[in-house]
Amino acid sequence: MKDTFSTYHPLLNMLYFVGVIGVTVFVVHPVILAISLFGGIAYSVLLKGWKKTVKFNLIFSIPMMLIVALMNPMFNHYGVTIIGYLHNGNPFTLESCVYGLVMAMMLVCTMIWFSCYTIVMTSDKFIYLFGKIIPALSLVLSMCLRFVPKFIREAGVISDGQKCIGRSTENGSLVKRAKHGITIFSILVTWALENAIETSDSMKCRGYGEKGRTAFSLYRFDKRDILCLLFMGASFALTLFGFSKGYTFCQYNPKIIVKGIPLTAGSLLVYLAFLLFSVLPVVLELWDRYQWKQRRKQVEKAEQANYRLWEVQD
Amino acid sequence: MKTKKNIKSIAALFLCVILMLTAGCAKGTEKEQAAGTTSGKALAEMNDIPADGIITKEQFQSVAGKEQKVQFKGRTEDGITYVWTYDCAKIQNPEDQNLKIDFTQENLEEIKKQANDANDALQMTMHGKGVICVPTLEVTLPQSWESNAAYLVKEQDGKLAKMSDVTVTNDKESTTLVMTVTSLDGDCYVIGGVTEEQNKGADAANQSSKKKDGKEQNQETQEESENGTDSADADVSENAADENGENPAEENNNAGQDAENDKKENGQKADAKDPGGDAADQEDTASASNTCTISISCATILDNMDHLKSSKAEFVPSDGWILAPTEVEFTEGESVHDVLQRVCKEAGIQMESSFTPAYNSAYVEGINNLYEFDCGELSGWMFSVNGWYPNYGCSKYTVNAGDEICWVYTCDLGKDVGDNSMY
Repeated sequence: MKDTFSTYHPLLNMLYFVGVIGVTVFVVHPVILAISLFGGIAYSVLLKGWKKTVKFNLIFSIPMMLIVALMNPMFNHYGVTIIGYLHNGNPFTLESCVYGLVMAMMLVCTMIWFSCYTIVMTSDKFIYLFGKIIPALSLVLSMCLRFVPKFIREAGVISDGQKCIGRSTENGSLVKRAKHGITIFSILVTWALENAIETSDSMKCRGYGEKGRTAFSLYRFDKRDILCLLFMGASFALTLFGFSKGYTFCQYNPKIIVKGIPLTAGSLLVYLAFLLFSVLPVVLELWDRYQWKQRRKQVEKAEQANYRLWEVQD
Repeated sequence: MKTKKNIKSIAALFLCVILMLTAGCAKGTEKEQAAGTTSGKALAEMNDIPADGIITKEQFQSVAGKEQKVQFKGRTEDGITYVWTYDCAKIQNPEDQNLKIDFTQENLEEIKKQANDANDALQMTMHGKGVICVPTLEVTLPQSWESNAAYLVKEQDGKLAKMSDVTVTNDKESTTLVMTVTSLDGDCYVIGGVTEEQNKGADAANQSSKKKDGKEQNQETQEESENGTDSADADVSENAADENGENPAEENNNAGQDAENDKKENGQKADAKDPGGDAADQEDTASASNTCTISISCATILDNMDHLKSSKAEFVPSDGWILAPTEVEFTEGESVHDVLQRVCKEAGIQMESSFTPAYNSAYVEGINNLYEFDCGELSGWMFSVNGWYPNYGCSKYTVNAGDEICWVYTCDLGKDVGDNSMY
């Protein structure tokens, strides 16, 4: 099932992800990152379900966070609060520890948002947006972005096919299994190379990127999109305004300075604006589900009055 | 069939790669050999300086690290001879050295005047860059000087800065000047005067306590800031007779007041360095075995505050001293890097360094949260020992007793702290 935000105009989808990932990557404020993490996890739960999200975070995010958080103080030694000294005589500082944690959080946030991006921004949307402006690059980009999922899917197909002729990677001795695995991989690589050439040839044959070529698309920019865009623009502009005013100024290098941790009016404004922005798709989806329920209720009420839409023919 | 073909082609490729590699290596060794032969003249104990003045890197390479001394002799048309003495054991990173010097004794009225009307002056124009160790230069002039003491000075920021003391030996028809040189570029001046010991005799004893202050400040000539002149001025007027010999560097006594106070103990040592006081000097260093002086200064940032990252401003002390000159003990064989690391740890000063394999030495990235590139792209930490900026890393320099180690922050690749070897 598609979520509501995916059904909005591709331009909105694109702008939204650019905005939210941009803020996540460039703003190192812990509260902003926490908001972004919350929004990202909520959206990924909606898109992929509880199980997948929790699994991804447990297996991948938490270990990675720990590694990054520990790596940073091993290699960076700036900071005014010296906790101890490493074996090579360099200080181990609180500041670099904290910065490591923040960086880890940022990394996880970005990964989660990108996992949502790949689901929402399908390649047809991407091509629709950029096909006219940068035809070649957009095709390459969309092919690149699709590459890994496509590769995995095709690997499954090939391995199934090989299984049928008795070359499964699950049967026989270790050497045999490895051999079969290599065969599958070799087929996969050959297919990938061939597929890339075929795709480009096929696109060329269809006149992709030529002048005067039109492309069919189902996207309309309607009132709903305008309203959503206005809301997005307003909340994002407010966030940016707050950043530029320095309400959430943040610095870790020699000294930790985090503005807006005891709440100030300015920082509260920024937090609220960014919270609204980052939970927008989730709110849209939940609102949509709520409305669906309401309509269902109406229909059910009508049913009680012995009036059934689909039984008019009777 | 197909796999066979594949194997064949892979084998062919492999052979090709090996062939190319071996060819490349052969070329490399050839080059090295060629270099070995073209460097030509191996260094003897006494060598003549060639016409262009350049002693090549390869020539120094052949003697570097050996327990011997090499001398280079040069002679000018007007009868001045000069001899460079390099202590090979101290050469770690050989480079080309241009040892040619052009001498002038005329038109130096301006310099003499700047040095409080010095008796004699000698301009030495050099054409090289940094030195690879601290060589001794002996200049023999064909005429006799009146002066019996002298300084080697250099112009820096429009002022004269002292490089080292010069020992003057007067004969009837010649004068020999012996000095240590820490830089091979640009114009240096030997400025000679008569010390008070000869002029005033007994008075010298009375004045000696005051002289201390003046001498201290002579040592501080590397610094930029413009304060602390008043006490020195007082000295000048009081020691009128001593002006010629003692004051050339007085012009640029410009160290911070704090440094002045911290240097008080060192005054004794500086005093002992007077000509004729060499014996006392040696005694002094012997008694203070295994101590060295270390200081950390970022005074150059004060002149470049507009380039400094705003978040780092609070880490620049108002007088520039992160660690004022401090006498510390060290164990035999410790490097400058070890001493710095220990001193910083003890004083609670943040310091980060990393080992750089390319130079086989530690590189100091930041002290007191002031890092390289924090004050412009030519900024970073440098160290000098007894006035010389070594051309190798701080963990390769083994500290000797009595060394004066200065860690300074440069904003201009060394130029603003008196090291011109990068220009």
